[in-house]
Amino acid sequence: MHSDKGPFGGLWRARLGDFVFSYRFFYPETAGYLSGILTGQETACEGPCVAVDTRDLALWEEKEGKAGPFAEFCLACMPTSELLLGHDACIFHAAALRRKDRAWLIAAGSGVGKTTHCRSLLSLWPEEFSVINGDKPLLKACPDETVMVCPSPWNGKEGMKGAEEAPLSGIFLLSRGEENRVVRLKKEDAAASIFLSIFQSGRDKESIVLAAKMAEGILESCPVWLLTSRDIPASAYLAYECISEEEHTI
Amino acid sequence: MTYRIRPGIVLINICGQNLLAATRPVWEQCPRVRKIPRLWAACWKIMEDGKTDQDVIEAFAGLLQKKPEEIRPRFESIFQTLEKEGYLICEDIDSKKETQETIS
Repeated sequence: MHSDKGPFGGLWRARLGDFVFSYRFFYPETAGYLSGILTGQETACEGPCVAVDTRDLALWEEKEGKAGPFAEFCLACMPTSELLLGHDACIFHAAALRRKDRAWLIAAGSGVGKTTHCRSLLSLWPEEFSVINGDKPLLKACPDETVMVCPSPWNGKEGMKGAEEAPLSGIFLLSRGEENRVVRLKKEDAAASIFLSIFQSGRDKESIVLAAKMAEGILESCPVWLLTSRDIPASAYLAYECISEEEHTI
Repeated sequence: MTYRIRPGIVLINICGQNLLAATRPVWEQCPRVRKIPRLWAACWKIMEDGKTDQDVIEAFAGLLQKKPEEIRPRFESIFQTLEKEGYLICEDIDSKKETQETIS
């Protein structure tokens, strides 16, 4: 059983992008998974403090088996994003690629093919593409209405990462289908998918409204395509053509 | 039957698209997000003030200068769909269920 009162695995100061906050862990070992953004241990929370919801740890135990440090690390993504939403940023479910100082996202649920498309683009054009984050990048809305795509500790099972942050230039909503096809979507038609790709607790109306505001900022900053994939690398070529054409308009 | 908004559902608008979004406490009662047309969103906004389906029909009847009975079928289908999907609650059915549960 998990409760807000314990177990207690320590308070840590964290820095993610420009954001400074604290984590309150249940398991001391969770800090190891987030070591890249932790800047030191503390004795009391001085600013905003992020902790995994005990209900989420209980749900993890129901679905995946015993929850431990790795579960807490994975689940920490949601309250982290929740905190960021109050500062025009979020954690977004997508693979983030960088090409010529611009960032491109491939968004889809788990198991649809984000990583496979990433790998395909990387192997076909190794000199052109690099990976900012393979699974859940940090997105940050800037005052000039651009959205920056930044690294985060949640890289996915393959640990794809390494490239520096870049301005968002386009999003592919990936799905599987009977043919390989890419179609540019109207912003309103992409709204629900973009909203659902933002990690949020959905705990109350304010949380939903903040996520909606972030989704609107993302949609106003770049085009969105529906990329239907029957087989790879054919669908990866379609994405590449789209990226190349779009770059001419930037 | 009286339809009311299920507490925990929020109407949002993203780039002109109206969406009903469910807060976590009601994730098991309805899909997390649903696109809705403008007319449905207008109905929802009236109901957000605690009004019922009957109030919505009367409001639109006034706007359209028609009798409530004339426009009721069109609106009934909206309420029935949203109730079936879990975004609205039907108070009569709920009270019947409660009565049955109490009896059993």
